[in-house]
Amino acid sequence: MTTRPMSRATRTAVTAPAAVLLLALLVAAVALGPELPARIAQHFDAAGTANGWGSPWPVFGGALATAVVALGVALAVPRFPDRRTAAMVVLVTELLASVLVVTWILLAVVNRSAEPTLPVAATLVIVPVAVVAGAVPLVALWRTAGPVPRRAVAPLAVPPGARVAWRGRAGSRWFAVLGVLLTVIGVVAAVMVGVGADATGTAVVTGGVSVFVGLTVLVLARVEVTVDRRGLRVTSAVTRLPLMRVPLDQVRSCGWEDVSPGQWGGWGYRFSGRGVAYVSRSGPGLVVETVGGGARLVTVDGAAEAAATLGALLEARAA
Amino acid sequence: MLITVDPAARASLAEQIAAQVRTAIARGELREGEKLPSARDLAAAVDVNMHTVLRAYARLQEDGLIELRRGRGATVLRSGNASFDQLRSLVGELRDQAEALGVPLDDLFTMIKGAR
Repeated sequence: MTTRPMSRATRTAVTAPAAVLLLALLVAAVALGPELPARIAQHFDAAGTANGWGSPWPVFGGALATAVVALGVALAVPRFPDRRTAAMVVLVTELLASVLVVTWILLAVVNRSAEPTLPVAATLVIVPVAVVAGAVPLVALWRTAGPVPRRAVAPLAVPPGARVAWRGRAGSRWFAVLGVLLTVIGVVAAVMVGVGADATGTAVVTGGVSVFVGLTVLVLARVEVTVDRRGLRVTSAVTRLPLMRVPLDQVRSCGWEDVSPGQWGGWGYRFSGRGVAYVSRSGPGLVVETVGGGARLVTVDGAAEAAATLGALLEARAA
Repeated sequence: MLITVDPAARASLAEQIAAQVRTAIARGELREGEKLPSARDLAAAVDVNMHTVLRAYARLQEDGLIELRRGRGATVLRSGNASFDQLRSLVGELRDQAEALGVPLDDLFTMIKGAR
């Protein structure tokens, strides 16, 4: 992959948001920190009235640590050979840092009054800060990323009249571990709160969401990739749920590329500007361009052979 | 795993499918405990009758390469891999021997083909 060297402007765009966040946090701590009481209002109901109190410093520590990590990641970015994956990592750290930093500053500001209130509308200030802090480095890095070479493959030589099919596996042990973890956490959370005296609906819902996400990740943990006269299909190995399907007559061209997750929007089942992708690892992935102009990617061992097979099927269709 | 089926070839369709599953196991593309595609699915993929695939799978089961169970489909067995390991080591030995005697690979092919 060819990556252009980073200009000074790009480097500034990548590091500035994290630096500004860290600086803002430190300035707020110096200006407002000494006046803060030992216990501040930290949780507010929908009307903005405080209903939870605690020391301001654990939250500050979390925000500070996250901002420092975000700045460290931003400074380390020129070392990443793959700018798109670097952009994803920077995006996540910037979002976390901006949410925590703005939260702490908001808390510090509203707790100057003896009876602190925090209207819901005020928390919306987090959104533009997070968007700017996330988008500026993302766009800057994306623009310096080199083009991704797509490799064409000579179609498999198949005798006329012969039929050919290819089948491969893909998956990730990390998905399986993460899926089980999320499911267990969700079940435990829902059960514990359900049993507890003051059972609240929200915790049960949170548990349910965690179980749902966990099961979804488990579905993605092992998949089968099939290329045959019907086209390309990606199916979840255990549940048999179809994850991706491109009929042969919808395929315009195919090839493979050396995938790094950032190119297609990260790990898992991704939707990005380039198309829909199943990404479980870096390395070879089968890429299919559809008649409609979209693209599908699936990271799978033997992607070149799969592309050659699909090429032979496309040739047979044309004949 | 790549499966090519040629109706014009001399070998029967079932033999062709069985041979290619064998190759996939030998190459390590299909590992022990792994499931083969369902007969219905593979039949649809290469446009043959489902019973042709079942015939191929039955042959592989006779050879001890896979296990067929009602409702669970076909699973690759260790014994199959073990015998393939043996075959692979025999082939390696064969090539070493041929090299030691100065027999070119093409002549070795001819010898193997004429051995039966």
